[in-house]
Amino acid sequence: MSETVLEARGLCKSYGAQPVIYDMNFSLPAGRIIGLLGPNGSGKTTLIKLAAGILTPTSGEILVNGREPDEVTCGLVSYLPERTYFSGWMKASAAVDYFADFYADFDKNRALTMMSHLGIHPDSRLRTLSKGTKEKLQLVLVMSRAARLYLLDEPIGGVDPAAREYILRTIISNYAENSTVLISTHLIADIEPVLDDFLFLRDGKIVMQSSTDEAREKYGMSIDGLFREVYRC
Amino acid sequence: MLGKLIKHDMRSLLRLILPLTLAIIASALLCTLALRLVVSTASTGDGSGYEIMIISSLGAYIFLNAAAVLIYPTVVTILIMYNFYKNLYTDEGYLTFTLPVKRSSILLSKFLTAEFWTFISFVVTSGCVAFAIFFGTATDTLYNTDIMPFIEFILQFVDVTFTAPLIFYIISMVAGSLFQTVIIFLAITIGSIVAKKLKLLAAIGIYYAMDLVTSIVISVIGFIMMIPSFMSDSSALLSSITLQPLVNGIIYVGFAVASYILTNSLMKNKLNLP
Amino acid sequence: MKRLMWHIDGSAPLYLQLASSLRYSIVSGERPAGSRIESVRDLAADAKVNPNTMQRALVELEREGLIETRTTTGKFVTDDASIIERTRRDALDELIAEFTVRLHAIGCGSDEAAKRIKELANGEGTGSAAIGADGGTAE
Repeated sequence: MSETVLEARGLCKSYGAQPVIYDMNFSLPAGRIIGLLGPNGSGKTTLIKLAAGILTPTSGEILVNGREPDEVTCGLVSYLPERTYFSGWMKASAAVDYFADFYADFDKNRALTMMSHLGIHPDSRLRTLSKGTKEKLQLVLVMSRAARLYLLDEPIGGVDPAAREYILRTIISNYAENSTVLISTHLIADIEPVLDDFLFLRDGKIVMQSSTDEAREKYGMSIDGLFREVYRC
Repeated sequence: MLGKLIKHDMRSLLRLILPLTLAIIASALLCTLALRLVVSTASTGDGSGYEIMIISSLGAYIFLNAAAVLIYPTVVTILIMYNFYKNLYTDEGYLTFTLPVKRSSILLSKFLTAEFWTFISFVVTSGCVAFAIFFGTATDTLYNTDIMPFIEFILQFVDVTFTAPLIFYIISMVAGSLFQTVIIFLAITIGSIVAKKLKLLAAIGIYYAMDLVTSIVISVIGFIMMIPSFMSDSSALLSSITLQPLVNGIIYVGFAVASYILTNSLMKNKLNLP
Repeated sequence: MKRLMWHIDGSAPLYLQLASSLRYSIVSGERPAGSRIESVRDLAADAKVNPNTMQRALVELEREGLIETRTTTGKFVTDDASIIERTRRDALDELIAEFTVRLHAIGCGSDEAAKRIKELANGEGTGSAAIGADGGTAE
């Protein structure tokens, strides 16, 4: 089934007079792992936040499964932002229960298993965990959902190589069958083997969209190399 | 889903407000004891320096406690609003606003839990004051035996003409509380979502603006209601005075509803989390 | 079973390199004949690659007869020892071909090399590396 999971039509987003996303058009099919690639400030996080519904477009539209972001799309989308969004006083088990409470597609046992592999005691308060552990816990919760679209904002940025490995393995092992995973990152080399497709973003516009295989064949280089070419200053 | 939101909101607020409430109640109990000591020392004592010391130190404690009990409802409101802001417009908002629930349910849950705890704080405050008066002003009996006869004496005069104004007064109190909760919600929402700079200032400004506008409307309408009584006799004056609280209550509710709708609309259509 | 090392660089399409690593693990006996192979998802997660890419690698090996899919139970290394043996022989031939090219670059012949290999394996003669019978380097 190749329905369109995420679509943008004439999407624009400005903060005041400053445009961040400019007349963006794209369509992402189901069942693909897609990289949202670009340097910092190119609009990756803004695009993901628009898809998640916590930003409102200035004009144009963004559609998840054909709907504008609302409570129904929130049930279809599993979003991992760059920040920790649980209160520090919460216990780890409470965070798991919170997800179980609100999300019908949440696999509690899987999350608890992954949590114990991380060495997180269920009764530990989140503020006692290191930043890296908190990020991994959030990833575990997000990936334990059987969502239609996973939005992962810089999941491997700013973590050590061992953590990066864990994160990539967790993503690959857990995403639901035939769902789409949109990963934004500026670390191309690590993410390239995982991707089916990619989008290059620059200054709020899409400058290239292709499958990784086609691009490698067409340009005769890795996506990492292609990225350096395209973004050469 | 609304039930789940309420459950989690209640849990967050409980964590913030319950310790404070228990402390206030405990302090009020101690205060009542102190009051009894002061009353008995003052009435039976001989004015020695030792007694003056006891009375003044206990008196200071009683005064502080009274101040605390009076400030307590305001502190509860601050805690409620802090929780509202933190859960919606800080990093936690990334979690709250991506839940598969209607935005209107999120607001409704916040509103209901806020009103619940506001009511609790009112009950606790009244209860502490009543308790202190009832048990604290007695000397050789457990409770002040003058109070019940006094209340019965007052109740003699209560008849139909008193119940209507009393009910109207209660209505205007409740409406005022709803109004205050909602305009603070609106102020925080406008400050966080709409204002680009100086968000806190914008929030405070909105709050006072709403308060001022409502007060002006209440005064104007109150004055209009008084006009007939200038023309005719005192019975018109009495009925307009009686009706005043009800009219105020309706005005409060009207503004509260408008603010609630506006807040709901902003949350639903204009959300932009930084 | 020790953890499989996935050798990945930019020299060839990813799925071929994955197939190569899997092939090595089979001929070396790390994955014994008839043993079960993990799901595509698990293999992909371990290698940190897209499951579709891993699937293509498995398809390659199925073409060669090294892997067979038994419906409902999953994928298994073939029971057929002759196929594994043939693959092992092919891998050895490939190694030797590479080795021979480098031998000629230093002006040595195959016979000299074969003799020297035997000597070092028996622990005779000096050399900067003494080769143990199992292929490891003795201290």
